[in-house]
Amino acid sequence: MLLALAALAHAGPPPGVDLDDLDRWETLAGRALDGPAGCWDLEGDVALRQTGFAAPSLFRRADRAESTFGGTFHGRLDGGRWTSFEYTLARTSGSEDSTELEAPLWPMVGRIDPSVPHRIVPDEEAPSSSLRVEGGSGEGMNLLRHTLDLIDPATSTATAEWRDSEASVRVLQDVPVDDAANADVLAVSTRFPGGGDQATDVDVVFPRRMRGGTRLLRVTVYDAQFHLRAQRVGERVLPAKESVSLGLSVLGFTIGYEQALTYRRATPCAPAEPPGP
Amino acid sequence: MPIPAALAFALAAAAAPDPEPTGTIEIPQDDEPLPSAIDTMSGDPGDDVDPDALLRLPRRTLVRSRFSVHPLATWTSVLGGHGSALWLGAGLGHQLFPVDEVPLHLGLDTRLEVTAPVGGASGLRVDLRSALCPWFGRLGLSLGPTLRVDREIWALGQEVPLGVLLGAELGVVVDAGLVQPRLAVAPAGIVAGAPRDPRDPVLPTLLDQTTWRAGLGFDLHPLQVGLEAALRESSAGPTLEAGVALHLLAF
Repeated sequence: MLLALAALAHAGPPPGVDLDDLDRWETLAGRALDGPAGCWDLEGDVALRQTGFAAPSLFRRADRAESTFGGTFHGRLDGGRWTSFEYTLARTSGSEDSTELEAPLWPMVGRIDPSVPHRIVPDEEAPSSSLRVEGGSGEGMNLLRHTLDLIDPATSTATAEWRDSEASVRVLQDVPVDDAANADVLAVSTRFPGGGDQATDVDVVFPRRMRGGTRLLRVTVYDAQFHLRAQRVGERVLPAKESVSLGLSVLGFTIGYEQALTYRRATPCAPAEPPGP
Repeated sequence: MPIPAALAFALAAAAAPDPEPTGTIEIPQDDEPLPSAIDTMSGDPGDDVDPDALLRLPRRTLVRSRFSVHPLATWTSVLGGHGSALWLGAGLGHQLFPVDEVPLHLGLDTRLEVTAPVGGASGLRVDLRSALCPWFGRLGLSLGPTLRVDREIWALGQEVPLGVLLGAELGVVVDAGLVQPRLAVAPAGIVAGAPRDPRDPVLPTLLDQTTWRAGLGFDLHPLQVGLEAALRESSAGPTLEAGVALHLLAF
């Protein structure tokens, strides 16, 4: 009896889960950002957080000022591509004097064309606070995958391991951000509950500092990271929440930015109306 | 061994595929907060956060390094009607500071400033000072070495011969919200050049030359305005300097 309990406590991966088949696990991890198959109308909550880190002077200590914004979103994810994405946003805390970044909001799940996200604003605010990026390929892109493609590492390492504590397979990938021998790496961790084909957790953490820009306009990105949590509902895995955040330093100013989406409801798209007689 | 009926039912239910959803699905949520760069920049991934990828990278409070260039303009007057002049120049600054709340907020502020008079006097001032700036709540201190090279010849005859002075500056500032008063004293001793004796000092002097500073900072969003007056007890006599500093407050 004790032997049986001990065996259960260290159950190991279920039969048929091959941890050595890394190609398969990497392929499955790559699909984790696609979103659910089929066509879905998704809706939920939006939360933005902006923090300005003010430099000290002879009279003031270094300080931080934070503003938060909240709203809702709804959109249609069809075959992994967003065909619509609209959201509202209003300040929920912070000084009205502080600057509001006008960065358009993009979901990190699925592919989206830059022209698709659209902020719905009250009429009186429309001229000053509505920003819509025009253009795009029409097919859309996944921002995170696009970023990883830009890095295009010559080498990367991956491991797959079974974790009894979470009864899951974890796929861990380290991707060097350049070709230098001691290059910083971004770390990707993907969790497959029960060793199944569908991931529920994705965490991507970029190196502490990434420098870019031109000689005159240096840009440093700090602690960029992306996190996705999905939930199994029946046979499907639906996105539950995601966040992308980073610190940014440019022209001596340092800011922190976080965008979080909470997916509350998912509705299968209504079938198209048959053409009339 | 017969399988209990309840267990058999549970196994059958688990094995049967769920029906395809047709209506709106409420997506369940867990209470786990997601990590954020805003928190990890300050070395605080959060108590409940345990994403594997996050733990494999070192976290620490981010210390920012910042260079700045700023114009300088000070009105300088040798007390007793011995002359006055506008000194113009430029400063190069460098700051190191943590980006978040820590129990002892420590910064390092280094400045190199060069100014020269426009009418009323001739000469040059080169000031290099570096200060460690700990903050204890709303009370801030600054302490660090100073190095000054200067020569001043005033139109009415007062002269400060070329010299190199090494000293220190100790300052205290109170962040009282919209207004921040600051006081500082900076004694210095000659390390090269002719000896100097402060002439007719108004305030107590230390070593060969002593500068007393008093200032007020004002938060006038998006600008922070600093007004500072300095009384330098030098061999030319008590010299009063007044200047304005502007800082852009982005947030």
